[in-house]
Amino acid sequence: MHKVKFGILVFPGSNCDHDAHDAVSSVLSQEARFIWHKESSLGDVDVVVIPGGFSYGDYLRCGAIARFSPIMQDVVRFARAGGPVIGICNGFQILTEAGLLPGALLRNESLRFVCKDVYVRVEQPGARFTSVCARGEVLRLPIAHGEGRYVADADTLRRLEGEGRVAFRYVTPEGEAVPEANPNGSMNNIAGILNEGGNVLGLMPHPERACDPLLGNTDGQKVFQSLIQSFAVHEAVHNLS
Amino acid sequence: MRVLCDLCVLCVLCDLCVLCVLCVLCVKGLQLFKAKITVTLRTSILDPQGKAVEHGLHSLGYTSISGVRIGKHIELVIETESRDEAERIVKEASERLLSNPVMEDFSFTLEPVKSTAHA
Repeated sequence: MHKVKFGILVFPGSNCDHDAHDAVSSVLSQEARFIWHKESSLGDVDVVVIPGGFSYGDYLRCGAIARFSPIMQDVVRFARAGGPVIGICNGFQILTEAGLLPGALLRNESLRFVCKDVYVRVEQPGARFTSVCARGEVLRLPIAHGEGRYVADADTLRRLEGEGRVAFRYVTPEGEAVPEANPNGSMNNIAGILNEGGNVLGLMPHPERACDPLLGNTDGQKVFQSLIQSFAVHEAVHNLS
Repeated sequence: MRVLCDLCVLCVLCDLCVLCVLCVLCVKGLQLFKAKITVTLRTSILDPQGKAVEHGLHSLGYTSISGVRIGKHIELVIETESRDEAERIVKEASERLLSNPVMEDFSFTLEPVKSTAHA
């Protein structure tokens, strides 16, 4: 099987770019390369990762300025063509500001920066990013954000729920989506969502920080493994035909 | 009659000739406006910051205060041919970048300014 080529965007202020690179290259033995935000083309990549951090110092609104970086035009093109894009934390904020995902991420209800492990429930095991998971499987993933409260208007929320586009929900270790399990006040305990095509995922938790066994938690691997497997399936089908 | 800024002086003979002393902007037929834009969270959206500040105000004894909402204040100067054009541009810029229509509302005021030095 070919190695999947991950392109990891780097903005001024990105700080999870190396974590993402390490997770997919060292831990999962795939190809990874950094793509500076000033570049105009993604080049030959299979997956785009928009990593966490504080792009442009979170000026104006988180992700608001990053979306004007030259590389984002090609990211929009790549996503519209069905290419898989995963936005983690600040990457999720950038995706909403760029209009690739609906809704917005606001200041945590507690007004505090929350840095801890949370539990999220896999809502869409059929999705490209969670195909190796079972329905309702609970993953333990770290979060680290001050502005992660997912908000959308009633119509958008209904559509997300109705079309099965809520990818992850904050839950208790037992899998209950109750207010106590919600670390930031997100509507419907939403931790991650998909676009209409199912090829763009935005999530506040950091799967890339839960990949290396040395760190004691490998739940995050499942997100990347699902993606890698989707390419293997595609390749197998391609070879048959 | 042409709209001139306060800095420019018309000669005694006419309302605009080569003797009239015009600033660079008025020569180009441009006017300068200062826009003050206020961006606030939509009323339907919880503003925990506003709530915390309201709580602080109550702690200080200002119990008659309620409905505290925290927003952003943005100022900018704009060089245009007319007030209408300035309004159009500020509105568009506010919708496209200065606010996020998903969660925020904006309002703005426009006032003429004399020159960039006064902006």
